[in-house]
Formats: sequence, structure tokens, C-alpha cells
Amino acid sequence: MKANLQQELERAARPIETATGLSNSFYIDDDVFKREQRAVFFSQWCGVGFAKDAPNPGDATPLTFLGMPLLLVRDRDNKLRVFQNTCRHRGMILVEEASNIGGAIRCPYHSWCYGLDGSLKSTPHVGGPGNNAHDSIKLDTLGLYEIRAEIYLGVVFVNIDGKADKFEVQQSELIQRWSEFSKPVYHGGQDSSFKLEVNCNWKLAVENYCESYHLPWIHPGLNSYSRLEDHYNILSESGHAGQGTLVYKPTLGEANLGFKDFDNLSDKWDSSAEYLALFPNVLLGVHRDHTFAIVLEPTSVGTTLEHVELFYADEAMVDSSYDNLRRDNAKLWKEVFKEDIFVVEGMQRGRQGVQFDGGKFSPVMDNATHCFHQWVANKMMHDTA
Amino acid sequence: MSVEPSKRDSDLGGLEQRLLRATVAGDQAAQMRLYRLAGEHHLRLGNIDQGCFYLTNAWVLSLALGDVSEQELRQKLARHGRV
Ligand code: FES
Ligand SMILES: [Fe+2]
Repeated sequence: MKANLQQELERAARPIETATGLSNSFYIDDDVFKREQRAVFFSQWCGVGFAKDAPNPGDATPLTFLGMPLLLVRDRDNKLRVFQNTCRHRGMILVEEASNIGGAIRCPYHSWCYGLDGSLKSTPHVGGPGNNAHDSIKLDTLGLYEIRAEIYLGVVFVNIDGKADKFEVQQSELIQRWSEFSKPVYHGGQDSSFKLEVNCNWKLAVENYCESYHLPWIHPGLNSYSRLEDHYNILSESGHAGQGTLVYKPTLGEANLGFKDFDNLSDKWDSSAEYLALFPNVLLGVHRDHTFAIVLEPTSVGTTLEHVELFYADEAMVDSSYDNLRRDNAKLWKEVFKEDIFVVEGMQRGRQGVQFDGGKFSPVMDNATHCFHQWVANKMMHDTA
Repeated sequence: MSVEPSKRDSDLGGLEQRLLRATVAGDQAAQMRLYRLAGEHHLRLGNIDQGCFYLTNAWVLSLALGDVSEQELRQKLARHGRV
């Protein structure tokens, strides 16, 4: 690693009073972006999609994350698995479009077939026309590469290099904190799903999400019932940070009827809601009546696609009688998230200013951002490759 | 393959044409059935290689489609030492 980059990482990892934020190159430099892919994404548990994208047994949904071709597969036992979407023969992409697989996954090139568990089932003509076996082709050594995957609050997390601690170990603090939400969530359907394309490095979206410092200025509407002093910071060394509010008010429809709440919540959640970034790239929000998840997909060093999905506590909330309420709720969040776009894009452009040193943190208001920078810096410093 | 197209066609009532149509239409179930017909036909004539070639294609499609004939097709190929 370049010496100055190492120094910059060390500066970002210092205690908040003396730290400097990650420098410009972490937001605009392609080489750093490449290093991040390995050090910050592939070696960690990152969000790549949603369990609802492959809802039924046999569903196979391809996706590309940071260039990595992945395939979400719902197997016959209803378990969601993730494979590398690359044939073991000549490396063809196996599944091009989301589809339901009646039997096996057949490679479109030479028709090698794989079961939904990834095992190689047939290698047609591999020993010459009409000969489907060869001594050197051992089916049981040529299954698809399976990627470790976990589902949490509807999000598919994967650890691509296979070396991270177990998800439930790494995120035990969070799972504990939100144990009351460890139950099925029901996606609200088409009207509860939207994407935002933003011209900023993915980290700026995380940083802006974690902090409440900007609320009075950027979200005055939200702030009218959610004042700065009603917010608290949440920090964890195990890889998440964010904020909570003490004055959450659910969206209500006609006759003041709202969504059904999650069952058996403690009193705390009557008026609290919490918003956490799971490092590196998943932003979650929990409320007594709904949750949401944002997967940040870095599409280049300076662009990010935000996949936003809203979930509810009960299947009945997906019913048409709740259409209007769900739409209102999605609209509210979309407005809020859109209000943030000009700041994250502005910060991105600000990082073309060559004199910017990464920025000075407020030891009181910027803890979450600093916590994230420390996490990124530590991962980058420990990346030995 | 050693069998000339003209002979295959005449024996199987334009099977080549039907296969082509099924392929163009992306109708894998039809392809599977036609490959099987062709395979069994050639096996009856004693064209083992040709028959196994077609049966292989039928088998692979039955696997991909999860068709009930999969086991049976596999066994036919196994009988000729082809899997
Ligand atoms: S590349 Fe997949 S079968 Fe050849
Ligand atoms: Fe915001």
C-alpha cells in the first residue's frame, strides 16, 4: 500500500478528537475502490439483495454485485442459497434472467446441468457424442461454488471470501438489540420497492444515514416531530452504527387506522424507532409497525444504486385494503431519502477539492460517521493482499 | 454422425424439421420428446452411437425440466454405458 494511504488510514482510525475523516482518494480513486472490494466487501458480510427476490422453490434470480456474478436460488426445501453464477466448465454465465427452474439449472453453452443444491448432475457428450462421462470428470468435485449467505430482516447477506466470522457472531450485538424484530417480515409488494441512483461514493450514503446532526437542516418536515434532542447515537465496534428516535409516530390512514404492530414488543417501541447501518452497505430501520432495508450497490467509485424495500409485521398488511396506507408510507420515506440526495452528491463533488483533508469531526455529533471510518480504516489496514 | 440427414428424415416423418421448429420456438418439452423419438428409433435400428446421442439430449432436457421421464432416460443411457 502507498505510504500516504497508510498514513491517511491511521489518521482516520484515531480517537475522534484527533481523527481526520477518510481522505478524498477513498471517494474518488479507482484503485482504492478496487482494494475496498476485497478488504471491505468480499471479506465481510455485505448485502446483495433481498429474500423476496426468489420467493418460491425453484426460483433462480441472477444478480451482479461489484462485478461478481451471483445467483439466488430457492431450493426445494425452501432454503435460500447463493451460488456463483458461473459454470464450472468454460465459465459461462448460467442464468441470465430470473426464472423458475422446474428441474435443474442447465448451462446455455454445453448444457451441463446443476441441481438446486449446486451439485453437478450431468455433463452431456463430455466423453464424445452420446458419451456422458469421462474418467477425468468427477461430478462430485464440480458443483457450483456456493457463497455463504444469511437472511436478516429480509436482506440477503453474503460473505464472498468465505472467511468472515459467522454472521450471527459478528452481528450478535445488533441481533440482541433488535431481538424483538427477529421474526418474519412481509414485503409490501411493488409499491414498497424503489431505487434511487445517486452520484456519490457508497460510503457517503452510509455516513449520511448514520448521523442525526443534519436532521434539522435537511429534513425539516421530519424534524417538526423529531427534534434533534429526541435522537440518540448508537455505536458498536462490531460493525454497525446509527441513531434512534424517541418520538416515532406511525403513518395513519383514514379513520386514524394504521398498520398492525409486530407482536409482543416492549414499551420502548411505542415511540422509539432505530436506524442502523450494518457495515459495509446495508441500512436498516425498525419501527413498531414496519421495517425497511436499503442495500447500497456501489456501481462505480462515484455512483451508488440504492435498493429500498419496505416490510410489514403481518401478511394481512400486503392485502389490497392497505394499498393506500402502504403507498403513503413508501412515499414518506422516498421523500425523506430524496432530501438527502443533494447532500451526498454535494459531498462527493466537494471531494474533488484537493485541499480537503477528509474533514474534522464533532466529537459529539459525528460519532457514528467516525465509527464507520474507523471500521473501514481497520479493514483496509488489515488487508494484506 | 454417420447417418445421413435424408435417411433420418424419411424414417421419422420430418423429425429434423419439427426439432428445428421446437428449438426456434424455445419449446424444450417438445424438443425433449422429439429427441427421445429419434434416440429410440436409432437404437431400434442398431445405431447405438446415434441413438445415445439423441437420448442424451432428451435426458438433459428432462433433467432441466424436471420431467418424469428423467430416470428412465438415464437408465437407457446407463444400459449402454453412457453415463
Ligand atoms: S460452459 Fe457451461 S456447459 Fe460449457
Ligand atoms: Fe437524512
